[in-house]
Amino acid sequence: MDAALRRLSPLSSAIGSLAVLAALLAVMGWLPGKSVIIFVVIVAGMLALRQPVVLILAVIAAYAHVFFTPKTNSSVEFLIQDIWFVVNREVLLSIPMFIVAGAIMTRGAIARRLIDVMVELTAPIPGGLGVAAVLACGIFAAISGSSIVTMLAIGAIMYPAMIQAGYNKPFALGIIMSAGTLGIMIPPSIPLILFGVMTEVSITDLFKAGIGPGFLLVAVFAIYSYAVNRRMATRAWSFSALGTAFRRGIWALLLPVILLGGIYSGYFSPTEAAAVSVLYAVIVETFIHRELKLKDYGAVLFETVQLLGTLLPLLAFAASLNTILDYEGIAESWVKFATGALDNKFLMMLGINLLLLVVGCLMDAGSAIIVFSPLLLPLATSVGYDPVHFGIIMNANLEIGYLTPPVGLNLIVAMAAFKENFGTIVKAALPFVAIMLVWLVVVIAFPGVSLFLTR
Amino acid sequence: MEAAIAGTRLETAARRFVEGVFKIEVVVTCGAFLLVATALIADVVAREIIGSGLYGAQKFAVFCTAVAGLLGFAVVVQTGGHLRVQAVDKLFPTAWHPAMARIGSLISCAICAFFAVYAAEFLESSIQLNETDMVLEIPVWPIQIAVPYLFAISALRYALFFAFPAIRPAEKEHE
Repeated sequence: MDAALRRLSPLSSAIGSLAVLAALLAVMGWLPGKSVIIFVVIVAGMLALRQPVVLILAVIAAYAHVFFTPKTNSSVEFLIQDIWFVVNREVLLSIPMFIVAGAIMTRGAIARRLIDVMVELTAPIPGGLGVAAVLACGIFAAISGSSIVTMLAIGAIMYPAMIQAGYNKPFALGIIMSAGTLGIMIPPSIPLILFGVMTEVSITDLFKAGIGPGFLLVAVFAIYSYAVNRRMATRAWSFSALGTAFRRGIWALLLPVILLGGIYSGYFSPTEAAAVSVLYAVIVETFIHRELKLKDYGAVLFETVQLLGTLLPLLAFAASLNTILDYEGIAESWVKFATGALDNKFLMMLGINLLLLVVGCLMDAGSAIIVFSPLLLPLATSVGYDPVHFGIIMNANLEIGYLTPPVGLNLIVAMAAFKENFGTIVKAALPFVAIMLVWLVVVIAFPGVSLFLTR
Repeated sequence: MEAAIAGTRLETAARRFVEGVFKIEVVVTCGAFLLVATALIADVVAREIIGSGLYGAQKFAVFCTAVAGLLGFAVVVQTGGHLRVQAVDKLFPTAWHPAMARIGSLISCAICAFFAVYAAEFLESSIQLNETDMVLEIPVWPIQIAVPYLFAISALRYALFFAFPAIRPAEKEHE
């Protein structure tokens, strides 16, 4: 029996699992209708035949417009109109601007100067370099909006420094990868903007709500770094070195103050804050740090356009799907069905979290938020969760997804950036995933951690 | 022999075509994005200096973002960067992967061609109705051309990737 099981190919195992699932659903009387089954088969077939997520979403949206619209009698023409309506919205403007600001700062000297300040500041603490990495990631996260950008900008400098200072390799890898995920929780955060766009929850409130859980995670990682490395050698503060680091890093340190201060005080809208961060980054890197050349800006633009070309069409198709599901009352039926099956607040949140943790293993945070936030938010609000709090919960789940195999984005990027094999990378991430799961429970159980600035 | 030479020539022509179009697309998308950044920064700076933002700057930036994002779709097709759930590949034997990638290109081509037809109809009706933007008071169809363009050029690219698998870009590693 065991040998027979081992001989099974992954494909036959997957088909077998699906058959068992279908049989279970049939036994429980939950087998969906013909159009839903065809729909599932189409999606599975497209996944198998290597279709990009954006085209799968396009087909799903077209299918929904044609076959799930007895009330509105919609068609593919409406889908194309929706694409135009979505891209013709001012709320999207902050996304490319934060992407470009992050790209400029990754290539320039801001990250390095931030690190210098943090290293000097944490020198007397055992495990200080680990704490410095976490703090630098936290501050860089407050200016970049992206997890990968944060991990690469800080990790490229801190990882070799930690190895050279005698830190254990799995710890050094783990702390860089996990602190890198702060980029999507500490505002400005591109996934939080996407959540706001898809669900019409205030982006400013989401930004305010991200700060508590983000700082909490910084504190937890810093304490863990201290606990693991408490026997490492330390050195006393050198006030001259600290002064030099602060003088060189002052422009980098001021950016999050200006950016977040502007947003929280209501002086800037998120779009204006994004424009200011680009202007600031260009001025600082070109005229003060003087490390970016014209050709670097070309690479930055190309990088930004590629990210925009990935996200914007995805957003357009998902928004169209969301619109038609809403008009047809499918979202409402879905909430009724789910709350009928699971009316307990705790079980509902457990189910949503398990789903998001699995999704986080398979999709990046931006795509997952675009696809799942309109479906899951009504469920969460129907059992009493605040929409802003749920945005943070969803983001926190997907943040963990950056570290979970088989396809956590930070794991894959770290594998390439730090030239380590996948097994080493995954083992290094495991203790941090466990820490983040505990943190997730705290974020869910205590809404005040997220909402104290929004009230 | 002659057929093989003709095939190679066709492949070279196809490669030159997709790479040539790609260069133009990169220039247009990066240019559009530069305009986005310039318009938004100018708007904020004007608000600080003269007390009010530049009229229409945000709308202009929205149109440029639309061009950059929609044409960016085609750019990403050429760089192999569209997000794909690559974990599914592990369900199939490695030997099948090249054939599956080729069939995948054909299916992507069909999907893009399907949407290109509807997008062209959408553009045609916008021109006929002379749809105008309320803020900038300009017809929107020159911007909307990006919608059918992205689908049509992507359909053509995927068709060429199907016909000449050697010119298909290597996929980026993501999820």
